[in-house]
Amino acid sequence: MVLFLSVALFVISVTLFVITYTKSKRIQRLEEVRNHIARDLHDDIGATLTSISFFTQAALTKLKLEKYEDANHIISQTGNTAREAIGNMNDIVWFINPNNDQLKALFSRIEDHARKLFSERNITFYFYYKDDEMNTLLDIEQRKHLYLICKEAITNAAKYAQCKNVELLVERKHIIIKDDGNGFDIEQAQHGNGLLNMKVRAHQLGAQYSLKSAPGTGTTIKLDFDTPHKR
Amino acid sequence: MSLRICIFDDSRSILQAFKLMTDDDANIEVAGSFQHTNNLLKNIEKTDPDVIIMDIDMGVYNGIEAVKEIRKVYRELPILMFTVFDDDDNVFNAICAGANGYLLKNTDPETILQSIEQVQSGGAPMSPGVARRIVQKFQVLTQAPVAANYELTTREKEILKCLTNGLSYKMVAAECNISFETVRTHIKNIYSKLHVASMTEAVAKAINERIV
Repeated sequence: MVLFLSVALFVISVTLFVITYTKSKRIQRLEEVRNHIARDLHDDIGATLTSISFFTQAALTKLKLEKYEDANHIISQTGNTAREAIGNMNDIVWFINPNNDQLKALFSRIEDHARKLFSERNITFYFYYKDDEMNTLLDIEQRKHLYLICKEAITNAAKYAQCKNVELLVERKHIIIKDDGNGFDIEQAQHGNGLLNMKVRAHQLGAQYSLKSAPGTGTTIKLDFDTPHKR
Repeated sequence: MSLRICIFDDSRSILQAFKLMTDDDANIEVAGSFQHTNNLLKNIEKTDPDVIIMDIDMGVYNGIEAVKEIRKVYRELPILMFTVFDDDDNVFNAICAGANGYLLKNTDPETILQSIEQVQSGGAPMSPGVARRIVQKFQVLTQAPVAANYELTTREKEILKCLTNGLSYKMVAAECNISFETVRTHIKNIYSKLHVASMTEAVAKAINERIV
């Protein structure tokens, strides 16, 4: 009897410990995510507002020197930068909103972005997915990384690839973004930090990332979720 | 001869803004601008700047690490940090790594241009709040040369900090996600390590000797 009681007691305390431990880990993780988002927001919006402040100063100088055309150019750039900031802000607010935790919501946002960008440039956009695979739930960080990878790939295709067709394929095990444009020499690529950021984000998602491109063959970006991973 | 600056910042618009702002400035010209710190030393060698302007958080790159790397080769090249972050860690780490100045991104454009000239001529321009922090840190260091070492664990320090913030045992338990009993045990250990007999005494000691 004593033995039974002590075993029971032991089991209960271990269970309690595990529950408390898991809970505190979860709270810790949530806090990390929150800090990360706050930091990103601060850095991103801070930088944009700083540049707007610089742009206005530069425009004033141009006006003083009666370089009206330059001033005009800078002012319109200021507008673009402000709008860019609004877009980024929208993105962040969207990531945080728990209503958007399904894969479906994420890809409908990506699709909107893609259609808008591609229709301006007469590029045909194909989007393949299976309805029953779109209910997967994602947390804030996963949404953010996945969205920003796809956005970067789509923006690159629209702006630099000079392609006619872009395909986005979403399956349980992988996501593929493919264009039939010029392609580029990966070694020589100079698109700022975009390519590297995609790779890092994929890594943080726990996905295998591959980029295939060469002059004349188009570009294919593939995220593979097949390999077991830890986040 | 105009002063050549090289800027590292992951924000494309910041790089553009520097270019535009110095466009009509006879004293300053942008010699190079980079969204990353790949090939850092090579890029500096190639652009041969008089002053470096360095962001801190550049996605996968970190400006403080970059400063350390630069200092291994360029002992004297003036480096001006330019960031949105004004927390102690970033400020002190940047200064310790070898940065000569620290400006926040809310600084007005004119002050930034002046600061670039200042840092080049041997000054150490700081945003007001940042300068204050460094002075305070310095005062703390001189007042208590070596903060008495009571060998408190991180957890114990955390709990002591909660107490100095006026939290009750129960609130501490909730804050740290531990049980009331555990809090009591920790506090008992804190008392014995600090050689005190009451909470007031512990809190007073913690504040006076800057343990937390």
